[in-house]
Amino acid sequence: MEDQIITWIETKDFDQLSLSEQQTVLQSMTEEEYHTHRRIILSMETEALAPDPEILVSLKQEIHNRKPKTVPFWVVIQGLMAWRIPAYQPAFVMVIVLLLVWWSRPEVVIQDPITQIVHDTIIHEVTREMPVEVPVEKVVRVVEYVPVETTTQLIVSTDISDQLDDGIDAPAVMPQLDDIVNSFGNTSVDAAALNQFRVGM
Amino acid sequence: MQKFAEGSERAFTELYGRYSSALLRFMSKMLNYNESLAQDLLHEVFLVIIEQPERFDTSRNFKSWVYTVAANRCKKHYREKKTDDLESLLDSTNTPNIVLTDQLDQRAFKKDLRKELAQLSYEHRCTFILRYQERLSVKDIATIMDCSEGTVKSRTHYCLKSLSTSLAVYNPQKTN
Repeated sequence: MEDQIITWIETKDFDQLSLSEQQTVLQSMTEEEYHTHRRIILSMETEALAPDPEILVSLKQEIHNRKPKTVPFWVVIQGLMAWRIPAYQPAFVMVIVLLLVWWSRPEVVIQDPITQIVHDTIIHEVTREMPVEVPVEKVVRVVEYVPVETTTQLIVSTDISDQLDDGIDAPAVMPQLDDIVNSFGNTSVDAAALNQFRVGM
Repeated sequence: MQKFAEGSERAFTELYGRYSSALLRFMSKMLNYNESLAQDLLHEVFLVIIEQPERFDTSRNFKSWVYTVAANRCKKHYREKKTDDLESLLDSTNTPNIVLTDQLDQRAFKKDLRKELAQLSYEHRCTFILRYQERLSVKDIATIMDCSEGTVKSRTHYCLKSLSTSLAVYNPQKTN
């Protein structure tokens, strides 16, 4: 109810209230109090002040002063080069850096060697010559008799005899039948040794 | 405010244009109509905005925040200079309450209203001015004064009743 009355005070004169509203108001305050309340509220509104223009100028200057100024890089470098500091400071920094590097170096971990056994097959062909004795069970020599017609004709070639006369002292002799039968052919083996293999006809 | 925080001077000018007059009026009343002092404090309030924009929480209402800054400035000054200002105000408003004639006009009423406002406590005066001069909502005032909405209403009613009692010697029917 209080809020409602305050709203009426803020928005309406007492005369503009309906009868029921007036009755509601009069339960809380008199009509004069209502007028005074309303007058106070209305008096609060009428005030017009203008800020000093210098304030805005000063504030904008402050904004400009706070903006970071761009400095050319060579000026920065020149400033760094001309920067003087006590010698112990870089020395101290160097020591700190060295210590940090020393502490942060990677630890060498020695690991046991890993042995991997790989099985593989290597074929190495070796050619060896080995003598093998094979027993001869039986050697059979077959000698076939071929009868040859005996002729005693001496063929003498003059041309060849001339040639033979050059290297041979004795004249060629005609072989006999027995010699042919008993011969073993043109071999260097002794005939006596070969007689054991002779086969009777 | 967010644009100003990003470096826009134009945004600052816009903020200043919107709120400087209202803040000056508010602080002038809070400082017992000491306009030059109000101008100084207005400068300080906007300096806070320039120097510490990060203090403003962008999720909040800027109007409430800037009034909070202004009210805190006034409170600080009120605590330091309360006696001096009040005495100077009383000297300047040397209108006897008892001697009333039909010629008492709105100006006299306002003078006495200023004097009565100056005698209110800081919290009551600030609440009353924010409510009836700046026309802020009860919720905004509660945010600025860091109190509940019920407290704001209670303070408003108390002020209205107290001022009405003090100014009861004026008959509005006659002065209008």
